[in-house]
Amino acid sequence: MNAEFMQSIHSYFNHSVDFEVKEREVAGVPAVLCYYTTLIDTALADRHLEMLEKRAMAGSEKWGNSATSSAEAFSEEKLAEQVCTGNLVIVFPETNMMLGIQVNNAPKRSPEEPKNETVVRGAHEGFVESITDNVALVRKRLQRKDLVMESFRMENTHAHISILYLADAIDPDVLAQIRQRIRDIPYKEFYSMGQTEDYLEDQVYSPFPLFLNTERPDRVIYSLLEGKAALLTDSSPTSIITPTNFFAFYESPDDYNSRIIVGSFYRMVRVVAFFTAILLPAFYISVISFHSEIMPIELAKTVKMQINDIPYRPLLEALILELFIELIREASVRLPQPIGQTVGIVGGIVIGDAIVSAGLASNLMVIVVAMTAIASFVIPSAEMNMAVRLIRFPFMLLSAALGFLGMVLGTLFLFIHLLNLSSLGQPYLSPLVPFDPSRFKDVFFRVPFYRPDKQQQTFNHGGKRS
Amino acid sequence: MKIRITQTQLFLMLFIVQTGTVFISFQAPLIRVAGSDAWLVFLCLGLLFPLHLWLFERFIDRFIWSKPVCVLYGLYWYFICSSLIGKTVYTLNVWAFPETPMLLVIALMTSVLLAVVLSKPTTAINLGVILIPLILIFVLFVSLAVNDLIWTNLLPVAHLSLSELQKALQPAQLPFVGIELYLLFRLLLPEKVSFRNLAIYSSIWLAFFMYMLIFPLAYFSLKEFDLFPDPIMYLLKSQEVTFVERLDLFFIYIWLAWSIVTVCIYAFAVVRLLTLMGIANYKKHAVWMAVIFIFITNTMATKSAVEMNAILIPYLHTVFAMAIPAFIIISNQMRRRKRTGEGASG
Repeated sequence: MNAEFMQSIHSYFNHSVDFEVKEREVAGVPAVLCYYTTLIDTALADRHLEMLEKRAMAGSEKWGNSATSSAEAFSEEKLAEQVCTGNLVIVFPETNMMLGIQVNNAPKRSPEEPKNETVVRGAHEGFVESITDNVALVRKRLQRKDLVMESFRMENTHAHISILYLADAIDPDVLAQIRQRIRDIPYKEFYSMGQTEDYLEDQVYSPFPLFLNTERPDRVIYSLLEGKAALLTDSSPTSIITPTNFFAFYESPDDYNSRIIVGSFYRMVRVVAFFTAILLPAFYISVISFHSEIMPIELAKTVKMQINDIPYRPLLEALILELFIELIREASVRLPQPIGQTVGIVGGIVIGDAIVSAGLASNLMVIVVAMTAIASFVIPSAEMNMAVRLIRFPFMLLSAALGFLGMVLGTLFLFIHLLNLSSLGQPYLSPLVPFDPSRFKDVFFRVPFYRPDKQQQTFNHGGKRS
Repeated sequence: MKIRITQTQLFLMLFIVQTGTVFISFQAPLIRVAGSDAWLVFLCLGLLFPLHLWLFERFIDRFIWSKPVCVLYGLYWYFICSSLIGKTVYTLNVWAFPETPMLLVIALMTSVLLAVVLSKPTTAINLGVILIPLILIFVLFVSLAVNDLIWTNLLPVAHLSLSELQKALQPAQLPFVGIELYLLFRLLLPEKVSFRNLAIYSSIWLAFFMYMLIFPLAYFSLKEFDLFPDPIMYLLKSQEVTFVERLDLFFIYIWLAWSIVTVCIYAFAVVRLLTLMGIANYKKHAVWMAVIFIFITNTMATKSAVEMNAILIPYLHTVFAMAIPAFIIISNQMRRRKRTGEGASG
């Protein structure tokens, strides 16, 4: 009978080569062992089996239940779920029960510092592709009983999305919304956090990130203390923090690891960098194309002499250089690190100089574009960096068409767009809009000690949801 | 969803609406008529401002937004929007942009208005926040002229005849335009506004306008005001800074942003009226109104239309901020008394 049963199980798992079905007697009862050889630690599995045998022989009543094993009624779906997560499953065909033992040995990294979120001072641990390890990294630092983890299982893939939050700090409405939106996710296959973001976001077609992505446990902890929630998955080291606001993308854990004045200075530098990255090329184009009278006479002379030799209009000149910078950036990201650095140097210095010598762009335009690129790289969040880099193009077009008028209109449209954004229904521009003087200073200054404030809940000034 | 605002939001909207557009130009016509007495005339009028707001607050429940009232105010604010954009485009053409087709500039500005009214109501309510740092920068750069002021230009005072005073009262009304929006936006505020808060807002408003009046008055001689339609801009133009040759150009664009936000708030008020009138699909109406707006405003962006509107608007202000509210409040008060009397006798 077991042979027939084993055959049916094998066929249920599509005769996968790494799927093992073995007949064995466990605690004197005929049983069938099911597991993926590629997912379990076989030595550990043997030790567990020995231990279970001993407990059964000693006459323990519930010998199958332990911290790493649990018994339940057999069904093919449950068997598949357990086996796919890397458990060893012992099926007892006679009693129609099964025992799952956690002996998962799936490959995983050790917690290293995330490459795109490095800090000068502070912890150098980062998340890995395992929920349990990631939660452990958080719990290690935040030893509170109100730190809660909720898990949601996706259909078919058995992948998990977990919500991490502080029960005493989170807004219950936000939590309910997150739960509901996760439950509403219609997809069956799950492979990246980006998919989840699309389903959770309020406005998908905005270039601005509405959730903060981080691989740093310390950043997750700051956010949890502010009453936010962190979403984690098994497939990605990235955690999504929600709800979040625009200014959170300009904060870095380094701010709180450095001196107050130094931290405040660099925070202000980052805010200035936002405007520089968006407006500087547009400003240059406006001045050259329409408003050269604002330049001091000495500067105007130099600029005129330089641009007289350039055959193209400032917009085209700027687009050539911006395109060039984008190509270098993309190439540097895709290539291995040492080659990427070489491409940056060759592209930036050699080709940049050649472009100026060839008369395609002026030196001033090179300075403007280089400053813009540097300003955009100052932003600690990669997603916000991309958004800012993208937005400067419409600004350049508007300024080329209308000068300062175009910049004013562009700024108003940008602000209207930002005002319309919300992260899980909460204002994106908080604490600027709605204006909250008590928290507004945090946008520019690193306060003397970390005093987390809760996320703004409504679009009213300093308002709490009634 | 029912919209709720706070007192800060209410006063910010009111401040932007009352200051935007007019604050660079209200001085010239007032000083031309009142001379060095201009600041005293405006100060006396400005001291009545909190009283006006208090009367609105006191009788807010008597001002009922019936359909005819909504239509009347809707048309008035639509006209104000059109005249403000007309004035803005005309000034922009004089100062910065003589060759760009007016219709294009108007269409672009209208697209901003449309973007605001089609957005969430909170967008229009909070849009003024963007101007807070710009207002501070503006005031700061106007202050650079402090060393060049001739304070004796503010004297002599109290030499106006009664007829001159009457004439001066007309241009002095311009900074008050928009006060009637209090009646509409106050509906969004759940709590009562204390007289103290009204007085604080009025003081900020008065201080701003006094600043914008006294500085040009003390900077230029009285005869120069016949030449300058926008004295603040000329004052900024005369400031010399090392980092830029034409400081005024930056400020004309700050003023432009200020004006557009002002008109956005008026446009939001018009849309609120549509919803008060029970028009469900107000977005469709807003689009049509915007298209018509472009062509109407195109006729307002001329020198003669701007000058005519500057004369007309103070009269309309008297009607819409004083006469009509007084009429509605008194008639509703009488109706209520009559009803109470009937109830008591019945």
